[in-house]
This record gives sequence, C-alpha cells and structure tokens, in this order.
Amino acid sequence: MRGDKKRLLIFLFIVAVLAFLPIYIKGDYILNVLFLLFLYIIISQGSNIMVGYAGLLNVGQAAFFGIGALVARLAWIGGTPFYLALLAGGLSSVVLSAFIGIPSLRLRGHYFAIGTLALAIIGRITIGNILPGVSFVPRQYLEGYSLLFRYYLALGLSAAVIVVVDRVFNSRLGLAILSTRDDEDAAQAIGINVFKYKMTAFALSSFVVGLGGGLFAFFYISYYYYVPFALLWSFEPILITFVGGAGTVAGPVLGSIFFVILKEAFTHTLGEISILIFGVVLILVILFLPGGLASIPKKLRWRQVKPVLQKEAEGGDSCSQ
Amino acid sequence: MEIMQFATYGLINGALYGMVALGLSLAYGIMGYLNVAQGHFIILGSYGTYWLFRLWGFDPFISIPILMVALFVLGAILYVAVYSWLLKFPVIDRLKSSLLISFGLMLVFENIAILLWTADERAVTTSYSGKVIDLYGLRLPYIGLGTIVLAIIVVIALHLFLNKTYFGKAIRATAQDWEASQLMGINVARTYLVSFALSILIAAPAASVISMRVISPGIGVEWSNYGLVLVILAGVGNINAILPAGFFLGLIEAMSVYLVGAPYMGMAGLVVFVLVLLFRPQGLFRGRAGL
Repeated sequence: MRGDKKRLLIFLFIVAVLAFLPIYIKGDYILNVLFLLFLYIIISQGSNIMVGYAGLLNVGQAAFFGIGALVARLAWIGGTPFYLALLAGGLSSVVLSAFIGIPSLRLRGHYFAIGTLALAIIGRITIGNILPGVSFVPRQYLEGYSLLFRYYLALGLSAAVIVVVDRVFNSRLGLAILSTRDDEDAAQAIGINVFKYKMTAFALSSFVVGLGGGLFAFFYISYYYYVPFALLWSFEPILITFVGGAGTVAGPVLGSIFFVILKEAFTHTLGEISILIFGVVLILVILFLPGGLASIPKKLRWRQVKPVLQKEAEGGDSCSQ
Repeated sequence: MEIMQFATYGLINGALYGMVALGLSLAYGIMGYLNVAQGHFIILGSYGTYWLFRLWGFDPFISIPILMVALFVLGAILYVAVYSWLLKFPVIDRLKSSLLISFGLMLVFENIAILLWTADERAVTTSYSGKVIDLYGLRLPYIGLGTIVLAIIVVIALHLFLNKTYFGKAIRATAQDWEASQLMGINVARTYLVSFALSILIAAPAASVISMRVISPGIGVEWSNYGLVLVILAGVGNINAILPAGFFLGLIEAMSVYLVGAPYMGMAGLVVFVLVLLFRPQGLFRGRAGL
C-alpha cells in the first residue's frame, strides 16, 4: 500500500511538472516533441495491453490507429466537437477489433500475429487507393488552432491511459487477462472464459490506440490519408513496448521517452542512424534484458540478495506485477 | 488470349514468391523462427547482384553461385551473433522473440542500405531484359522463363538435399524433435547453424531475379510479407507445398488484376490469405505433415 502511494505521488508530481512546463518554455519545439512523446505513450500502452498483458502480438495496430484517425478526422472536419470526434475514433477502432477478434482470437499462437499483419497491409492499400489525396484542415479551424490546447489534451489523455492500465491490471479483470497469457489451459480449467477476456483486452487496446489515432488527426494540419495507416504505426509501438518492458505500466513510458529522444536528438545530425541505433538496442534488449528498461532497477536491487531468492522472484514475477 | 497472358505473368510472379518464401518456411519449420527480415536479406543479395553487374558486368543469373556463398556466410554470422541466443527461450517464446529480433534487424539493414546506397530505386538491365518469346501470340519474357526454371531447380535441389543426403535427414530429424536427435548423436547446434544459413542462402536465386525488377532499401518488407503469406497458404513447415502455393497466389493476383485492376494487386492475395487463415489454418495443401 505504501509503495502504491509513493508511485501515485511520483506520477502526480511528473504530471504537474509537465502541466506547468508551457508557462516557462518559450517556442513551440519542445511542446511539439512532448506532444509526440504523449502520443507514443498512448499507442504503446495500447500495444502493451495486448502483447504485455494479454500475450497477443497484434502486428496490425496501424489499421486501428488509422481507422481512429480517419473517423476522428472526418467527424471533426464535418463539424462534430473534437471530443466527440476523438470518442468516435476510439469507438470505430473497437468495432474493427470486434470484427477481427471474434473470428481470429479463437485461433492460437502465431496465426493472430500474422493475420493482423495482413490486416494492416490490406488497410494501407485500400486507403491508399480510395483516398489518395491530402487531408487539409479547413481555414476557419486553422484560425482557432492552438498548440497549447493540444498539448494539454495529449498530456491528459496519456495520463488517463496510464492510470486506466494501472488500475485495470490490478483488478480481477486484469488478473483474468494475465492468467490467459500465462497458461491458457490452466485458466480455462479454473473456469475463466479465455476468449471473453482476450476479446476484452483486444477491445480495450483498440480503444486506446484509436484515441491515439484521433489525437493524431486532431494535431496534424495536413497529411496524406494513408499516413496513419503506414506499417510503422504497427512496428514502433511494439518495439517501444519491448525496449521499455512489456507487461509493466512504466515500460511503454520509458520506451517512448527513449525512442522520442533518440528520434529527435539525432534526426538533424545523424538522420537514419537514430533508427539504426534503436534497432540494435531492441535486439540487445530482447536477447539480454527480457524485462526491458523497466526491469533495470529491480535487477540491480536483486543482485544483492541470495541467488535462490532471486530465482523464486523471477518465477513469480509476471503475476505480481 | 488476354487472360492467358495474365495467367502467364501470374505464374512467373508465383515462382518468384515461392523462392522468396522457401527460406522463411525452412527457418520456421526447423527452428520455429519467424524471420521477417528475410526480405531484407534478399534485397541485400539483390544489391550484391546489382554491384556485380555494374562493376564487373556479371550476368545476374551467373552471379547466383557467388551470391549463395556470400549469403551463406551472412546467415552463419547472423545466426552466431543474434539468432543462436534465442535457443535459450522456450519454443513458444522463440516465435515472438525471433519476430521482434527480425524487426530490429529490419530497421538495421534498411537504414544501412539507405546510408550506403541512398533510397533510390535501381534495377539491373541486361541485354535480354524485356525480350520475349512469341508463342502463338502469348508473350513469354526470357527472364520470366528463367524465373520459373530457377524456382523448379531450387525446389527439387532442396527436396533432394533434405530427403536423400545424410545431413538433410539430420536437419529433418532435428526439426521433428531436437532432444531425441541429440540423443541419437546429431550435433544439434551445428545442424541449426547450417539450416539457418541455408534458409538465407536459398534466397540467392530470388535476390538475383528481384535485382532485374526493382530494388530499393524499403522494398524488403513487401517481399517478407509475400513470404509470410505463402508460408501460411502452404501450411506451416510444409516446404513441398510452397511452390504450388506460390503459383496459386500468383494466379489469384493475376486474375484480380485482370478483373479489378492493378492498384489492388497486392490485396487479392491478402484477402485469400485471411480467408485461408480463418477457415483452413492448417494450409491449403494438407498432405503429409511438414519436412
């Protein structure tokens, strides 16, 4: 309980600092970078729910991000208030997840991963053909465009997503989802409806990712309609999640910070090399640090304890998170 | 007649898809590795072919043996440096970890290729590029015929290797049960090393053919994707069915181009793929299981 309180205080402190930051910072650059960071936190939490907590590798996240962006954009430009447009984006993504999940989540193992990859590519090709043009924000909207407002919106949404993920995976629902990840047969044997909980995780993840898509559509003034459907939006959140630490709340946050810093710091000086570095880091993390960046403090702490204890803790680790 | 022409092109594409998918299917069937960076290795091979042609005038078909040696070495190095570490994970995690590792490799290779050769599109243009044989009005491109012949040779050679040679049998035994194989005296570590290198080597003919179409650093994903689709269509680990599945996919695509139009070419195959995934997850050609 005390650990919980400490974490809550740290969390609130960081959010408060970020909330007061725009007062002291001049210029839009930092705010833009932070917006990007919040966006990545949101969508990588989305993939964290799937791959970290539910153990399902959804490689088709680009399709969910894209549909959220598309619906939110069309609704917003069509005159809907932005919050309803964002919600519509998230819900459209949930609807898509029901279409995909109900037939495919009954299959086990790799089929889900490969099937969702196909979905992402189908989405990308379809949108590229149907809507080949650029989406512009109408002139009257541009006059009211405020970066600060979008900054706070992104900050609020990402904080909310972090809280929701943390709360859900400390509840009965979350434990049920975790049990389907750890041992599907055992979960079924003790009366857990595996399909139902997988589908719940899928819908929750899709809603979060769809919200992220809506945020994307609300932020960028003009972009090609197919851009949010690009396969990068599938790969990057998964990679971020694993580098940061899959199955922990802090993991995607750390991964996003690492990713955005790398991307922003090196884009102007090194160009492509930043992504190259990220690729190498990812490989090293997968091979030698399966818990991701988030597990470093724990590893350091456990070094001092007896090896037997360490083994035990690692065995039960995934359940107590 | 026109439909026959489309079908011909479909078969030619299908042969190429088959060659692309063989390596993926091998690595998957033997070690449980899903190596989605395969397309990038192929593109790397294509760049090799391209430079051999540009610098020394090697014909792409002639340079295949050189490429095979180079890719075998590359595969062996990659296995030792990266993929062999995955063996410590349980088999279920191997798939996911290898998928993520190959994502990382994709990023690395793609960006190295951009740094070295820029993002421009290139292609090898030989003296016979674009030349066709006219068979009663049916146009058969030389390169296309070469592709089909190559694909058949590669598949037969692989089949003979896996079924007739001692080492091939050791590979199949390891794929079925590595623990039992180890007890029978097979050197599993070496078998894995060679089979992974083999799964990269087998991409050489595909790399050579692709170099005569179009190559750019970003195109590797598309080929990996075709490979994945075929692995599922053929049924996981079912190497003998890869080429028939390739022809099938090529024909489906050709018919969709004929009926709907070229922009949706990539999609017809994927729709069929999703349907197969939903209704026949064991693959189109069940036959004997696997290797």
